[in-house]
Amino acid sequence: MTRKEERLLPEVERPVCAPEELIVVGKRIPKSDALYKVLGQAQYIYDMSLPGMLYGKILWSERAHAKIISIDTSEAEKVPGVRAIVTGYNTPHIGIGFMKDQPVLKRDKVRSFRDEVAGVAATSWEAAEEAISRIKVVYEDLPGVFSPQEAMADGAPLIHETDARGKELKDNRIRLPWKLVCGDLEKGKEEAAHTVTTSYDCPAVTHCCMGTSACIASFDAADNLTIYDITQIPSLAKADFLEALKAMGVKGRVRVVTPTIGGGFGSKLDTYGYQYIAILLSHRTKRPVKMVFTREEEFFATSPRQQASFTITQGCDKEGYLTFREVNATLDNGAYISWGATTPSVMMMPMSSLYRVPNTEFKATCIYTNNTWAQAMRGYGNPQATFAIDCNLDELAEKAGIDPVEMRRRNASIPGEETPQGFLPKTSGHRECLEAVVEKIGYASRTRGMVEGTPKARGMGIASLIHVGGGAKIYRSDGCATSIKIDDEGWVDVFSGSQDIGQGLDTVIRQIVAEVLGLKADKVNVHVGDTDACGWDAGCHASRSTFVAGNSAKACAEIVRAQMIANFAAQLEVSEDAIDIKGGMVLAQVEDPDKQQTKVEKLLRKAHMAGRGNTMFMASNFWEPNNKLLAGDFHGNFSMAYTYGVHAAEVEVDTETGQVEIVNYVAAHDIGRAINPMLLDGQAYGGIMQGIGYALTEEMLFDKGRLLNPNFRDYKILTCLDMVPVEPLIVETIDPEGPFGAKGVGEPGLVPVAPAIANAIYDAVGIRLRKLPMTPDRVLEALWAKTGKAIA
Amino acid sequence: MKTITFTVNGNPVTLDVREDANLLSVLNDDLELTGAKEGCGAGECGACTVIVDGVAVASCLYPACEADGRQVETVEGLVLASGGLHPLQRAFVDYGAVQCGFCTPGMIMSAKALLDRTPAPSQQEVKVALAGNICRCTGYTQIVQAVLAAAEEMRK
Amino acid sequence: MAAALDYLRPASLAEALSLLSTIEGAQPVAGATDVWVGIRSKKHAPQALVSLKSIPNLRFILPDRDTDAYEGRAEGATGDSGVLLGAATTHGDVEDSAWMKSHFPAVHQACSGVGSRQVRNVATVGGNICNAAPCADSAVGLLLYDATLVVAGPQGERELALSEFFVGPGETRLGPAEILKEIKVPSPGPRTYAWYWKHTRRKGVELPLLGVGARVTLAADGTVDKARISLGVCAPMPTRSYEAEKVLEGQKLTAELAAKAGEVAAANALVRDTWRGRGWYRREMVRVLVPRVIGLSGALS
Repeated sequence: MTRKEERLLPEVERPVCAPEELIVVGKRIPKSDALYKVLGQAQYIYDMSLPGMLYGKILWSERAHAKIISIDTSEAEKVPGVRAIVTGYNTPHIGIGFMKDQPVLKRDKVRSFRDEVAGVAATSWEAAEEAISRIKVVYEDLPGVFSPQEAMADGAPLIHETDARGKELKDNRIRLPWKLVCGDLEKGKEEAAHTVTTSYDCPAVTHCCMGTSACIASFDAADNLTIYDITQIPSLAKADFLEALKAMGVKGRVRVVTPTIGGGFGSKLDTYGYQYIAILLSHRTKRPVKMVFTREEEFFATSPRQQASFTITQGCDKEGYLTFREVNATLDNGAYISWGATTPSVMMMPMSSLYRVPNTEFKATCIYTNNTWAQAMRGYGNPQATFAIDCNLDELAEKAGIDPVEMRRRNASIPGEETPQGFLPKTSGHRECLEAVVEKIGYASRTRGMVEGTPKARGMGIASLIHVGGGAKIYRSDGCATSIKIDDEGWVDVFSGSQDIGQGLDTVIRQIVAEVLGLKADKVNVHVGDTDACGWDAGCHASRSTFVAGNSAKACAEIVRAQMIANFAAQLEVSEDAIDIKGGMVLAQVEDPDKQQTKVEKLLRKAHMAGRGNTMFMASNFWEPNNKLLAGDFHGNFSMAYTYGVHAAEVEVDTETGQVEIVNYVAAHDIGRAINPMLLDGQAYGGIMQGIGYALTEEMLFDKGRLLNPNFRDYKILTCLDMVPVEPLIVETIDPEGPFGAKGVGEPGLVPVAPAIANAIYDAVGIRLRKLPMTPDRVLEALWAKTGKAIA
Repeated sequence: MKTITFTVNGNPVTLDVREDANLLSVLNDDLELTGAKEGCGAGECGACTVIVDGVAVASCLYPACEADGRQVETVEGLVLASGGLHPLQRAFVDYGAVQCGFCTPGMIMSAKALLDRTPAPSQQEVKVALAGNICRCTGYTQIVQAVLAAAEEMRK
Repeated sequence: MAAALDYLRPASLAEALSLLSTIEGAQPVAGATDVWVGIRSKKHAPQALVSLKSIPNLRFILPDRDTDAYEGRAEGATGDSGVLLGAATTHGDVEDSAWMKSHFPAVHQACSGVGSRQVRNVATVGGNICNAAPCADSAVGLLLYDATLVVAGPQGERELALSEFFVGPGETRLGPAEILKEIKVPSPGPRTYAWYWKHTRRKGVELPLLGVGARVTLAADGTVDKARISLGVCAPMPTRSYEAEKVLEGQKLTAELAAKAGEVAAANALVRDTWRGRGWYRREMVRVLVPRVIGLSGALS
């Protein structure tokens, strides 16, 4: 396959529904629960109270690395109102994390400042806090290691002496040998006329959900657990908690209920120690136990974005077409293994398929340290990887003497082309996004360099993204279950296994189902967040919900619609293809004017109660996307569709203070079809704002494992005053696999922000920043390194 | 304990409160007005914002005892006498300014306090008024659009 | 359990002073935004809080008391007068005052940038000064105008210069039974230019990384009659850079002279090197921002 020749692209099938025919899908309708939220009536877990409820608090480790010699709870037990105290010594072992290397309550050893040493349930928050302060723990210090380098040095202490199965470990390297090989690296190197090797550092940043972590655990008389939990993975959390009950010798079942969630962004993709501690306390006291993190706890005791360091080499031929990409990544895994250690599996996606590059080798090593440990955060490794790739690409373009935009143009994805990792994107709006953004931001006529008479300089930068947009088979099942029923009055209830974390999944499903059934949107009520009523779903992650839950809901609605059409056709005595349902009316192509338009409720009631084979309409559906669990070599089409995008940033750099101002920002996303453009814009604005924080201001700062800035004062999350002018563009390629052509969009908005800004800074002042965040002091330091004096 | 008497959304209330209680806990626990929420407990995030004597305050840092004799407005009191949504509430719904909703009550009250004294604010004035209300979901753009739209609606 | 805390709301200054003298561990409080955070995080455990919010005549912005009575709260008239601020004047009061904006722009800028609107609505200028954080924006602004403080205590009232008020971070010359009552700011005179810059990492809800204030009053012949350079977070307390002021006074003000003042101020600034901000960067910002602030004040044109 050559690039330079014109080639016939494979035909892409278009979906049946042409855009002009859609009534509800594609509309900017408000989020279904926005009304309750603006009234202050939405029920969050913080507002909830159960009869007899107790309040739970956790004692956190006071050491980064130490043996636990003893835990004395005798004074704590005397505090009035205390009902139970649990430690690793009076509870059964419950192991968590997908490699099960973490006990919920620590015994023998603590490995980080966020290790849970004890849990207390009491009749008030105050009593619980007082009891916590009276628990006496004797530690014996062990030397701590706080970076992968320290952890791999000679004589470094072992953080874990054995793995979960008892096998001895020889060093702090985690046995997850991430390696992806595509094509022939050596051949790619030979073909390269230019190469650039650079290194990048991405720190830990955190989600800052406005609603902190919380749960209420409660057992009934038959030992069945109901846990009110703000999780993104209700079905998987249920499975985790069932395992915990087994370890506790409890035979009951588990129900996970999610009230309104105060933000997700990936933070609730795994289960945490505090949930199990609440369960243990609840079982011991036979009362509901509520746990709520303070903001400080939310900062230091929840899992941040995975830190990563990269060394990357890319090469291109004389015309700038990429010939190879070679990347080594080192990840500070922290004290225990959670999803952070799997971010390389997602990093592989941009490594192999961001831009067209035939030969790739990517390796990642995760190292245990005594730092905090990471989980999932919006982008899941993609933002980190894209920073390395697209900044290095900019440097490569310069070396090859090619304009940055032209470089992206030449290497942009081609729809229908299988990527070297085996992805099969049926649609790719990468080129459309690039052209749209470049035109909109006025790249060709931009101001570049110092602005006369001021110490400020302007410039523009570009970056691209690819992300999964059609599910992501990271478990053996990537499916979603939906049930739908419709009553005699035309009210529809949809039960989806998926989850609304604020992004509007509830509304998207409402629109899809209403569109298929031909009803008005406000007749459709979507239920999520109850594992008793709703079926299984892999979880709200990987931007999969619109695609997978949407396809599941669409398929289920199509079954119900078929039932209705068949029945109504019989009632009206016409053939099925002469019937349609639109806007709540059943339209029949007949001569009798009385039969041409009938309210759907009328026919529903007749179907149910006319006495001739009474029936009602309902259906269930489990929809599994036809993607592949990545094989041992990580090749395969692990999503059914891929979302593309291009971002462009215009910055103004103050060369005397190092401050970077974003004066213009344009972002185009190919999301297949916008089911709801208003909610889509919300994902773009929100993702971009988070991306700007990641690029310029946010950083978790540690001193030997202790978080120095666990508050909004010192952790620089951006405020309304920091808003920048953002123009989100929607590119619709109508993917044949997505519901009405839609692909996922939850994460893409964040992915290419940092490299777009870094490349813009280079365009303005000629410095390459390779460490995030690009704070004013780092900018100034780089300026001085370059010139030794102020830029003329 | 001290007895305080104040008005909440126009209704007189008399309560016994602890001297170390903040206004937020009184609203949430004693009065079951749960719109205002604790996001940080340190006056840094604005999720607890309510209006006291006409100005927006962080209720997590406002001593409950100090509310004695004062007028407190919360998001629950914004609904119009006719039962309809306040223009700010309507605009937040219509402009996509609500995602997870945790910041929403505080954000709306900060906006109301602004519009009460500045009926025709500029975009910059809106941003200054909302600077103390952190939102992680929306990126603020649709929120600012909603406030400006509500201001225009209220001037009619 | 939690230490008992009493919350008292005296109706007069005399009553407030009496409470402070008689109750061990009593502390005056106005907006409470700093004090409450300290109590909640268990850094402080006062026995009682004596609220100043119900005391009349502590919250106002007035022209100098020699020219006008000060009963009640009223805005100042236009003209060249100085200003008398009640200690319980909120930052929001100053922010909303067009009069303060035109007559004391640096104080207006300093107060308008504190925290958020929610904080500014209750936090007082007096409280900011007495809390004595090294960053206290309002103090850094007021130092430019040679403000004096009127303090009320069991022995009556006394005055002291703001520039002498701070002893160390969080420590002032306020006695345990005293209350800051008023802040007197003399008229700076004609041909006065002033500006305050708060250097931050983001635009909202920020404590400054450093604060720089500059005020220049020119003589009739165009030379600098009075120069004041004030700095926040460049010393254990809000401070003036006397060395930089000496560079400017008596001279014709040029961009080069302003730059020199910046270098001298930077050389003498007692900046800290911490994870919040590196020392070299803070020092460089003093060097860059002093002349920039002088330029922004309009003094060079």
